[in-house]
Amino acid sequence: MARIRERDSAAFEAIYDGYHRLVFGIALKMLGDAMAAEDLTQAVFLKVWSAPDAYAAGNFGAWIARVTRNRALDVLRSRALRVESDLPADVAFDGSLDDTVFAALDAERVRAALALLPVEQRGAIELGFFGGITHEEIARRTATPLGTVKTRIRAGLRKLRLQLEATVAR
Amino acid sequence: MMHDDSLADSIAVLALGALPEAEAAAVAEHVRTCARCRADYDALRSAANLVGFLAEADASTLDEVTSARMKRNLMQAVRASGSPNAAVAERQIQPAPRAGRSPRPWLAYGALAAAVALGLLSVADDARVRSDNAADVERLAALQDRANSGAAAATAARRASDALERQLAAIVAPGSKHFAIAGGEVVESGGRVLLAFAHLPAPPTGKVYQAWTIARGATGVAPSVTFAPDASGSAVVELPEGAANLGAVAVTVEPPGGSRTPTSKPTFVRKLT
Repeated sequence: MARIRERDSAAFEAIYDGYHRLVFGIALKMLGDAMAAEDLTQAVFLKVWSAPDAYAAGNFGAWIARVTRNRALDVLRSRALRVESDLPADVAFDGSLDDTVFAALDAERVRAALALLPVEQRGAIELGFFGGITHEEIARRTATPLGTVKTRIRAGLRKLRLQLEATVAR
Repeated sequence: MMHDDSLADSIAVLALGALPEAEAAAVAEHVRTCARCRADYDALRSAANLVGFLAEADASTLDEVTSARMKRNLMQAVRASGSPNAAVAERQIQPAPRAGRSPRPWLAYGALAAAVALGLLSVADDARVRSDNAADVERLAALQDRANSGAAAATAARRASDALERQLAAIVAPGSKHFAIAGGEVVESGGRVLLAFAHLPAPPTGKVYQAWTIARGATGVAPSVTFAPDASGSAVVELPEGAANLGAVAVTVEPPGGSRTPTSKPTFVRKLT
């Protein structure tokens, strides 16, 4: 990213090669439309080029995944078929350095950690991340009490964190 | 602010990004001012941020042609802008081509059409491939320049491209049925049956793939055509048996020329129901 800040297009190309499938995959999963996913992928990488300072530190894949998710939520909002309150908010706080703990984690190890979660916890987390829906909608779709959904998300994220910390420590 | 244990679950949902806006604003305000909740939020948020990695597998539908087109568009924009001004770069970007129909997995087979064309020195009139993506147009234009190497080769190429175009037309025809298999799909269209692969690994050295048909209600298999994917893993194969009374299709790895009975475990068996 330091080279991208210096306007090094070869560095940008390497970033694209390494992460465009992740970005496209998230966009496709959330938007359900290959052409919209293509447009979103290009928009995300343009953001990387035009505002490289937006990335501070930590796992780059996790950062660009969150950027992609937020852009996809914007697209879902712009489709205007939902009222605003049906879509979740994504509130980020600046200055957290905690992500640096997982900076070197790759997709394979993250997927392995996620695979260890109980299916109901993993399902709630996946729906919350990729579904572009609130925990209330998750509860409705899965016919599960709202409090149970929230508890599953919390338990699942805590367990995921512990698994990832164990992975990093190995 | 005083710590509030009752917000623990909501903080987790906030970290995931699945809290409704109004509730998110209230919980976020607490997190900003409560050190314990902020630490909890940060820990869960950094785990939640990694969930996106799961979607990389969904990019398997992203074919090489589309991937290369996106990259070309981006690199053109980046090189043209050379500055950190988003507006400059975004003006350079072309949106994804809209063909007026919904995206389907068979879009990947457009790359196969171009690859076959390159190999056979023709198919300059393949209108579908040309309209589907600009990258193929460039490749076809280069191909056209090379297509003066003999009438016999051109005729063979034309026949091959015509056959491939008919196969692609069958795949996209309204009413065609698509049955997913590893790396592609079985397509039943107008009484024809095709195997269309976008990501088929090369068979072991000295081997080919062979299709097998299973009639409805039958238990035995009948040998069909042999085939191999091109270098990009694409293959479109029409089964000469057709769809009449066909209950299932299977593929195995066999010696060149095929076998009378399967000699290896099927790579897939797909019922056509």
